[in-house]
Amino acid sequence: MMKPDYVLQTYIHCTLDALWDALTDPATIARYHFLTEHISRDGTTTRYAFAPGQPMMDMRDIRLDPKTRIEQTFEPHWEGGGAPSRVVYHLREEGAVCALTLEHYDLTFPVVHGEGVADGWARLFAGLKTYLETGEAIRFGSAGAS
Amino acid sequence: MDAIFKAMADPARRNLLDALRAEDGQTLTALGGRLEMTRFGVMKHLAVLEEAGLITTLKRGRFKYHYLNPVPLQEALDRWIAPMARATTRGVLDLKAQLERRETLTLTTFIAAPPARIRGALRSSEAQAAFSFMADAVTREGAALHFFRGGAKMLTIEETRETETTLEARFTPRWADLPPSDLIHHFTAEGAHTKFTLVHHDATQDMADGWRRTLAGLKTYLETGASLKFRASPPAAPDPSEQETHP
Repeated sequence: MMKPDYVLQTYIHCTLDALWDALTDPATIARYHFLTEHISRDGTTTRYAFAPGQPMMDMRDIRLDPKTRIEQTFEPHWEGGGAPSRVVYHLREEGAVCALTLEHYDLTFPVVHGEGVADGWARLFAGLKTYLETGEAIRFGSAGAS
Repeated sequence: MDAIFKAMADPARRNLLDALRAEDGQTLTALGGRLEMTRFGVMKHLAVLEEAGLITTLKRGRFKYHYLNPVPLQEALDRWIAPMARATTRGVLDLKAQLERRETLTLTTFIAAPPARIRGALRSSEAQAAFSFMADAVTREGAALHFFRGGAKMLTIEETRETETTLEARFTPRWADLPPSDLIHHFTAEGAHTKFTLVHHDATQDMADGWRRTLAGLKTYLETGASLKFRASPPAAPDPSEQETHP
């Protein structure tokens, strides 16, 4: 077992059902994603695009354990996005709240806090938490909320 | 001690000891029959074992019975194996040292509120009491906030410096005998929301989860107004780090 290159954990006031849907349903991800609303499902692959016809990245399901664990590829198409890697989400209920842990494996470049993938995951999780707790769709992009 | 290891080094002699472990107090004939060894061979090996003190014998009439003597083996174990067991203990102590090693923790989140509201919440004893996972009461004393749980003082955070983009404070644990350390909160406005980064110098690794819970509580409090303490409760599932099954 390889050690993850990056780990992020947060706590969200929501049900496990809502958390699972928010991580797997492309229409829901599209509401809180910090960069784009163009997210679609193609078989077992979730496709992210900057705009129609401008692919950002693909995430193909490797293994889904409902409401427990999601394992997907992480295949960037943006300039300098690097080689395909792999992510695992762990979902866990703690009473009235959920603990969500992300592990990012097989990255081919060092992770720097506040930059690149580390910055992206922090923004994505912030949007996810706000969406699940308030119902508001806020995109925590660096250019400011839209 | 040398005699013991020499005696144990021969597989035929270890077989003899095994045979005595299975049935103590056997005669030369019985042992020879069990091990397909000549009578002379058995005698020679038993003599070495007896010299090393690993077996003792008892004569009754025409028969000589052989018994295991565990004492020298126990002494050898105490001398050679126990220090290795202590090495394992050393490993546990190293792990403890590792957990207590001081390091810099950096956590970032994004909050749908302007920096001034976040600063206000961090300075307010009422707000802190609402979102801090570790406290059920917070009191102010000058620039210091004292955090209490069940009447016991858990923590003191004293503001030391403020700049346009930061708020600095002294973090003094009261829940354990740990030295004070420094906190820096960084605020970066990004349109209507704020990038909030907490840097804790000379922290211990086990404080990281506390900060994740505190920041989760702060964000929830500012965005929803709800007082939600993200306290650890007995997990319903094993720790996520133990669930990773990918080869």
